[in-house]
Amino acid sequence: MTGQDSHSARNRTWTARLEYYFTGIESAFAIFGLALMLALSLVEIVLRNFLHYSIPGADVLIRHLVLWVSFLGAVMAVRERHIKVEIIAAWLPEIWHRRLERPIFLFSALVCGVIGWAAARFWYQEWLNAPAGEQWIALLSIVIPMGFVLLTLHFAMRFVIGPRARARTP
Amino acid sequence: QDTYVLKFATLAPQGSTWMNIIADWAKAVEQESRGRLTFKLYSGGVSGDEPDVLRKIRFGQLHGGAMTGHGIGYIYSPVRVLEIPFLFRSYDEIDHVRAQLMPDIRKGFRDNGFELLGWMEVGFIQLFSKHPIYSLEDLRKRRIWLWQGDPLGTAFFTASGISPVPLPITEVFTSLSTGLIDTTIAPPLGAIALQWFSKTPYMTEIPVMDGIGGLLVSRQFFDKLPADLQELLRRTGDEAGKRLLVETRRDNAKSLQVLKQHGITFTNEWKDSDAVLYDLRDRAAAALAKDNYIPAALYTRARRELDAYRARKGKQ
Amino acid sequence: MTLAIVALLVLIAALGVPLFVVLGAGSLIATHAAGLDPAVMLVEMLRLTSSPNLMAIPLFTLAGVTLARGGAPQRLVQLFNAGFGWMPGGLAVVALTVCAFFTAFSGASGVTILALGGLLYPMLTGENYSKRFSLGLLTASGSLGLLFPPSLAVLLYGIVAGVSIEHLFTAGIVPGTILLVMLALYAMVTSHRIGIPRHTFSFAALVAAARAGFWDILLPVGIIGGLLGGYVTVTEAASCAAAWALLLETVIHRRLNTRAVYYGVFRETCVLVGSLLIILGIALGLTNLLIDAQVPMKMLSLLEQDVHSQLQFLLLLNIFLLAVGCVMDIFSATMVIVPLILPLAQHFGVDPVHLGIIFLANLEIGYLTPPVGINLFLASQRFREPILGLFRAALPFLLIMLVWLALVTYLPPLSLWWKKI
Ligand code: NA
Ligand code: NA
Repeated sequence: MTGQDSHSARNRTWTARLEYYFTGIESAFAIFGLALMLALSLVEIVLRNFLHYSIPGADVLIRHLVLWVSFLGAVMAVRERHIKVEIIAAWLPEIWHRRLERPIFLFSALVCGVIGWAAARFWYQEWLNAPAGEQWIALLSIVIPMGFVLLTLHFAMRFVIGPRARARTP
Repeated sequence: QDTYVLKFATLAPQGSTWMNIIADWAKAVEQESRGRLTFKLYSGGVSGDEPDVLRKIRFGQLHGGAMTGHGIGYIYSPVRVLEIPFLFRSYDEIDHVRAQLMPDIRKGFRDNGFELLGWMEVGFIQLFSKHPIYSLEDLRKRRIWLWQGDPLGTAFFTASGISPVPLPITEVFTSLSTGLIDTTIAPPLGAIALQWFSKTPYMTEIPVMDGIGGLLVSRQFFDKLPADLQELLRRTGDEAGKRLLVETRRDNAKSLQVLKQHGITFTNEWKDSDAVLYDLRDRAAAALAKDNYIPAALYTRARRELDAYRARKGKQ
Repeated sequence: MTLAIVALLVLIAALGVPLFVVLGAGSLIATHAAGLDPAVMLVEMLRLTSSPNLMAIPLFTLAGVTLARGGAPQRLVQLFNAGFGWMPGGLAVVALTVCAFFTAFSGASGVTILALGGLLYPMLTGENYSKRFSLGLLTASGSLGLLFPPSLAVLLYGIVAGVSIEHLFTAGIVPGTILLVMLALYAMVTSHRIGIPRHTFSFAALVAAARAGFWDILLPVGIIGGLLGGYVTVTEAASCAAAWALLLETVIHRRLNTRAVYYGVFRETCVLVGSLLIILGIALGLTNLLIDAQVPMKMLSLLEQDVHSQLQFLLLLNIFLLAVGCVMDIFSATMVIVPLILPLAQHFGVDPVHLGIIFLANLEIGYLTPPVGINLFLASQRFREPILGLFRAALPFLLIMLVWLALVTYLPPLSLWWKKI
């Protein structure tokens, strides 16, 4: 659990600093999305149960916000910790963890890059085929290609930065 | 000789009237083509909601589907003039007006990348609810399902001052169980096939609109077929469509009996006057014309055909 | 060829490649092999936005993280200790109850051991419980409340399997309580045997603890009552729980300031949710490919040859799921395995709600089994003990859980008693 960034941006390589600032911006968006999701859903509960009214599009917006929070959260997790099934790694000595990190990050960047390319083409078709009045929904779903591009970028940055002390991860 | 596999999706569950006829159709095509053209059927919504199926068609994972008006709206929305609420009173009226528009409908699908193989119908759509509904006022207090991404439904609910809950059709059953919605719309046959009726003790006997449907295949797939297989698909598809139309109408009527047997209460004392409903219809149509979802000219034409038909009928 | 690729993917997963990347790579290979456009994976990912219940996951996670950060564990331990501490084996029972409670709230993400372990371990050893028993107890109870509302594991199963989440929670009440009682009885017997002295009950202490913990207790009571009584939907319950937890920790207890809420609570929630749902999105794409290749149908016809009764099927299912639980955590398993076993179970007449309870019970045991046992990992980190030692300590608890699993699997009424025939 890293929580707030205990290390300051000083004393780091420029890639590490870049990653630090990027993650800061992405966290801000993710946190805003989560807060908006909570606020909107509370307002909807009140409106729907007491006034039999619902803000048009609020439902759809909330459901897309889940995707925004998830993707940005997944991007933030690159720096902290993704869910792994590291059966072998768990039994390997510490030094091997550090040796494996770079190849793992590179592989992850490649996979996310390929999916990101497919996602971009997918999104473009969504945008072209969105019926009148639903373009805003297609616009919201841009988070899918964007998410994969950011994941690619962050895995690539981690590849460049390299292993870090293990103590920070939970 | 080349062989072809047509991957065909539908929301209709295994064992339903719709699915049985589609399976028969698939078998007939397979036999008559001597295995050159086979079907892979994905029933019961395993391929997702209709917009999802269309996305999969776009990327070539699927080639066709039995679409309702909802999916058709994403392909060629003007056809949905036939679905405008409170427009038709009987199957005869529908059949007459549709026959007049059919050449344009075919062309519309073709221009938008699809071949219409057969025309079908889901039938007159009713309100199914957990509480009795007698008026628009009652409806305003309910959590009613709106098929997510449906401009026709949106126009109708907006005109009525109702706040619906937009959901994909695949989420309706669980949402009825959890109380996210308490009212849904469906043809009687659909309410049974999708098990929705088990969650809704009331049905309001007000035929809101006639749900259309089509057996569609993408031109991406269709145009690659040799001429004889195209012809085979068209002919058998048309036959399957005609059978679907007849049996759907018959089974919708039978379904009312089944619903009664299961203890569903039918309410038919609708409090709002016809004038209120017609006003609603015209305002919804105007809203749809504004977005060009259903062009005003087409709506006028359908009305004119309908009026002419009614006048002729009245004279006989 | 297929086998070689699967083996390779398992290997890279085992070496520590994030699971979503492994699944993504697998999906890319599978789409390529099927001659499909990889963009079809994204169709399923977009379908995430059409699930009305999905937003319950971030919001319940938010509630859980807020409580964990806001000192609810200490208040709950105090409260339960004042209430149950006088019983034989009182403190052990308290530990079990609080852990069950907290696991339900923290979504079985492993937070329980981290949040409560450090608090309860010195208390237990201070009362002369053996080191081994204390470690075993805490390691085992880290996943104890998995079936109680608003557990994320249950939510996720409901979403993936398309089963009503309220029904799942209702079905989980009796099995969950039975496990709690079984483990509590074991703890009582053990503490009696080693002669742990009993405390005297103090009404004044109970009142003081109740004052501090009252507002925390209100939350699960409200959620369980509201959900099972049918007054609120799952998503409404989630929004209210998150709002209430935030109100509790920032206004009533004043344990969190704005900075802590932003950096600690919200940020951590985003990371937890993100690392979970990205797997779900990719796994859905993989499921689509399996359906496209009609894999479930083929598996079914394979099973039909050798398996003829529901009992046989359930036995096979348990063996299979225990094996899955050894190498996968509950969330990944839900997303990857459930779509495969659901049609099979339906074929053999297993109710999808009962299947959910069986599935979750198996995976709950998986928290304690090496090589991938989340509780073993977390406890090893928290208590600085070797994994194998912890596994030995947790073994008696594990055996009790296996007995419980058999009960839950072969006595469907325990889960389905409330269902009308
Ligand atoms: Na659902
Ligand atoms: Na395990």
